[in-house]
Amino acid sequence: MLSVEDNDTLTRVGAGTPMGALLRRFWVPALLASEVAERDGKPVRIRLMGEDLVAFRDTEGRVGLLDEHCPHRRASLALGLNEHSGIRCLYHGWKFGVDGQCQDAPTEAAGAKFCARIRTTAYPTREAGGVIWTYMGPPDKQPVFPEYEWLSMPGTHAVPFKFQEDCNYAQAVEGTIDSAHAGVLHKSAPWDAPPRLPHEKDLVPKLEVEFTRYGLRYGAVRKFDDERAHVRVTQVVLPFYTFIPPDGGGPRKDRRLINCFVPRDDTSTWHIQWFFDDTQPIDVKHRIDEGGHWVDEHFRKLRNQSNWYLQDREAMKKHEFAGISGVVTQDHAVSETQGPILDRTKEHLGTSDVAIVAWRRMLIKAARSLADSGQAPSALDPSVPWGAIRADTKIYPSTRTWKQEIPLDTRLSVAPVASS
Amino acid sequence: MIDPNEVLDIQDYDAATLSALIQRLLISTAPEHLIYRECELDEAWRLVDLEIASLRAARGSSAALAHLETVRKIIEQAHDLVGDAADPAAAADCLRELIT
Repeated sequence: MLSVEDNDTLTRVGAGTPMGALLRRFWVPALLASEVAERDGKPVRIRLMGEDLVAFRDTEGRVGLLDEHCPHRRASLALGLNEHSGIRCLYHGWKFGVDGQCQDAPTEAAGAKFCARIRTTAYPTREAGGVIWTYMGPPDKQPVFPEYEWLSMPGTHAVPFKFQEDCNYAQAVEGTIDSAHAGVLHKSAPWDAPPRLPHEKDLVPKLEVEFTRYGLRYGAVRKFDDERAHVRVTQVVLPFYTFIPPDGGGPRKDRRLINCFVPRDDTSTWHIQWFFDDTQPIDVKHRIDEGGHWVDEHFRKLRNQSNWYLQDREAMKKHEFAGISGVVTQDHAVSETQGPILDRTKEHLGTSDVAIVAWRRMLIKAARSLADSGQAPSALDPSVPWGAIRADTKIYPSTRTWKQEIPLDTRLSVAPVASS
Repeated sequence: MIDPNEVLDIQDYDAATLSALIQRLLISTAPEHLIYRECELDEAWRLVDLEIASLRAARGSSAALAHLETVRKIIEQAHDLVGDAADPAAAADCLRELIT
């Protein structure tokens, strides 16, 4: 349960809001690099945190991310011509470089002198992990780039996927740190069939959280047998990442998942996933079928709320509980049907929701701390070793604790973010 | 010995449960402890809130409804004192109103 005020703080991400200000202090994924693969190629419209932007790769291969609308008469620069190191507006020919500087204004008598005075909004970009990242905050507060471990892997071993999720980013994040739902929503058999997988057999894992410099981690502990316990340690990284541990068996036992939920605006989200495996290439075709990654050219799901996710009632009786193909589609179905912005005054949380409560409190406190006192969260400290953050699965003797078995790197364990 | 890292299984909102919650609130110091206490209060709150909904659906007595609404309000106050104000002692004081 959250108050109306807390829910607004958590969910409103526009410029000038406390959460909008916090999120803009981080480097964030903006679009796939493949969307702007070609130099002087077609510009791409992209909406981020309520701002309409245009992305393009210029003649030198640099990626520009500008206000979509020309500062002259507000026509979309996405209609324009991408040529000779800049994008030229279709309306009057004003041209801008990746830094936002006006390079040409052919309909203005003052010519170059006029151009020198015109600059449009331009955000810095960086390419890593098959994704174009951007920083949308104050220029003097730009943090170091987070060098996550998968960003330096070969493209065959770390693959990004992108979807639009039609709801607020916060409920999308919460859906991936809700360990109890896995054995229900994703049950790989009809409801009445005997459970097969560990998370289907034990629907009430014991959850324990630990705040860290980068956010928090939590362990979901289940009994494995009379002498051993099974833990899945999920990393929840500020501001909107969840690092999901490997499944613990089978041919993809070392494959890890990163979820990233970048607000498109208050009521829609870019869900970007990376799958990475340092032992073998990612099987992209398998993942598309497993996840249900069937999208149109704008990354909108083909199975969506308007066609009720093509839910199959016969499949629910015979094959799987959800009757919805694809794990991601299943997750999106429950998050999207919570409404565009979940009303958290009406929910009924319990002790199985401890990770969700911890994440909300951490984020709300971080946003208010920044707004009230200008104090940035410790996750923005340049000394955070991003590459050391990893999700894990382990089976261990019941006489020990998961924190003993998977200790937190001491470089990550100081200055809890959520302390008051 | 009460361990503030243990989450109490909340089955009721009776005096014994509330006393146990108060004890835990008073030894909660770490940020993680406050999260566990907030979740326990969430669980107590939902028991009351769902009971209020049931009573309304059954057109139950207005006196019983008024009592439950008071209980819910106090638990909600305690919840926010832990979650928003990070003040478990004040939350414990709040809950004491229900058992005295």
